[in-house]
Amino acid sequence: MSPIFIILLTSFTSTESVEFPPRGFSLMWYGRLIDHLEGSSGTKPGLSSSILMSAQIGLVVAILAVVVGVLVAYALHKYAFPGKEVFRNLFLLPLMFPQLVIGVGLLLVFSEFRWFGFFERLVIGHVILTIPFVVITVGASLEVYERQLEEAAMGLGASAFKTFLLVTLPLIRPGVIAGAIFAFVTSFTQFTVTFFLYSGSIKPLPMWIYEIVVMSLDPLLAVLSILLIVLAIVVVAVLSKLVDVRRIFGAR
Amino acid sequence: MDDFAVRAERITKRFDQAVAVGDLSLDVHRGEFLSFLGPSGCGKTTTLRMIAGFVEPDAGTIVVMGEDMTDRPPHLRNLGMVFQSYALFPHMTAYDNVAFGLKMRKVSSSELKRRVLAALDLVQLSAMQHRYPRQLSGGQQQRVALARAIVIEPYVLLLDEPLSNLDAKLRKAMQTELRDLQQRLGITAIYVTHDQEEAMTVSDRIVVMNRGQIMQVGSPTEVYRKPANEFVAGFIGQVNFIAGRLESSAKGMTFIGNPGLVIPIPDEAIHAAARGSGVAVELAIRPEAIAIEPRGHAVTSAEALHGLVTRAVYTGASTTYHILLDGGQSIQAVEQDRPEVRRWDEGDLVTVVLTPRALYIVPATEQ
Repeated sequence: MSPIFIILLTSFTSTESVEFPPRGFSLMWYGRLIDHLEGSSGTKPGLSSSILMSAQIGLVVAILAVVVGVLVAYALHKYAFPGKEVFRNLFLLPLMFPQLVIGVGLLLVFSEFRWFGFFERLVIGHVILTIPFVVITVGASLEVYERQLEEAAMGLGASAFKTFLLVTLPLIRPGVIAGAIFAFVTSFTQFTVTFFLYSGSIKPLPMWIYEIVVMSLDPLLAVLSILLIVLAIVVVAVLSKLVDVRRIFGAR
Repeated sequence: MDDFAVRAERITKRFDQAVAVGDLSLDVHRGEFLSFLGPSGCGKTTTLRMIAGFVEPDAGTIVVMGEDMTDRPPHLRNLGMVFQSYALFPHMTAYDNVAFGLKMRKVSSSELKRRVLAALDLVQLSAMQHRYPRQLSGGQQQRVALARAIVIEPYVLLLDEPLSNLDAKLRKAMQTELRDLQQRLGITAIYVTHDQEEAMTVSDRIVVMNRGQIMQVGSPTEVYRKPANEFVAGFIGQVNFIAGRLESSAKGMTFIGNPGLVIPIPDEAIHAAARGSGVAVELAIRPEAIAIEPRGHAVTSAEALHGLVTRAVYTGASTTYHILLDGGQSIQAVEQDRPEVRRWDEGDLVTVVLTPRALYIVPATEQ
């Protein structure tokens, strides 16, 4: 917790650079953040467009990860097929794999084959990283879901597709939403893979922050960090309303 | 079209290598209440699920109302299923649960409303229509499940141990209600249970199953009084078996058992498979068909045996006596608890008299 505490104190500093312990107390740097967002003179340009960019990527990533993740989780839950465990691990592996390797690997593939624009490349990279979250959260929802409900629906005349749409999906919705939020937040704050795939024209928020850090250790970073932490807290609060978070992380 | 609601012809289902249902054939009449009865793992639920379409038979055909359903997916079979777990949709109210099947059939909204309300009314749950399943008691959930299954006017109502999650008292009430409802609607019902009393209460006919095979099909009276074999006799109610053989003489068949028991048996009390001189058979007699008399009481009939009371279990409505016969075999006798009936104690020497008309001869199970 202490890094967060230090960042919190630093964000309220009244000095021009990061000092510890911070001197004075002011909301000066919160004001600077607003200047940055407005693109006032004397600020580093592009903060608002970077936030917007990250939000756009996050949204597309969340949607794609949910579509693929739900299908994978459902297939893993419902069917027995040869190579099922390999299939499962294939979709969970990105969680354990070093992100560095994923980033470098994708960079090599994309520079070799020159597929897609930078936006699409970032989306693909993030989707690969976030599918496991959806597979896990949806899988947890499916585990408590009573299979006989699908038989009941089919017995009443619903086709397999309608059964999925009208019965299965509404009942696993908490897991789907949780997975989508996980995917969005992971994409929004994702650094390593983003670092290998971004460009000057497509600059997500973490890259904008990175470029400041390279130049100077600005208290503005502390302010941004605090806001990201607040976002994370809100997300966890929402998630815990939706699903049993402990179940997702495998604790019983 | 024939008169059968369901015809199963030589259906077989294996799970891995184990045979769950083996070469089973059965006809279910229209408007009949038929029960599959047997111990767990006997194949009764698998058979029901094959009729419903949730399990695909490895061989054989299933015909419902003259239509071959063998390869038809469950949602096109028009059957109403009630599950042991109720399987109500938790995200829908009672009303929406009942309306689901009609929506799938694209019934017009005015007709849908009328039919849903009529079905809820039938199970006396109109007042609960806006409640979600979690806000209903087990019995009420069961009624919603029933309404949901009958509102679609299915060819056949399939019920998989629908009452086994209810407490004993509610269960009894629901059995009667279920039977009344089936009679009023004139619908064909196929019921799965492991509870013989429940099967006897609700059914026109009972299919007794064991190890994937049909042991006997018959009315409750038939399976109770004239069981096809030792398994049926033993599974349905309590029964005493006395081993022996049959001998034919000029006057008819005679049962000869140990110890020195020689009883003339009328032809109709011998199961077809047990006929024939010298065949190893079992004499089956229900505990309630055995009378107990004091020793020394002049006994002349052939059906009387001497014994010793080894245990007396009083259950209120009746007393069960364990009696060790002189030949070394133990039997049980039940006497109703009426003021004029004498009670016996452990150690009493008695004479038991088998009611001649309650005797039945079944083939002995091959070991």
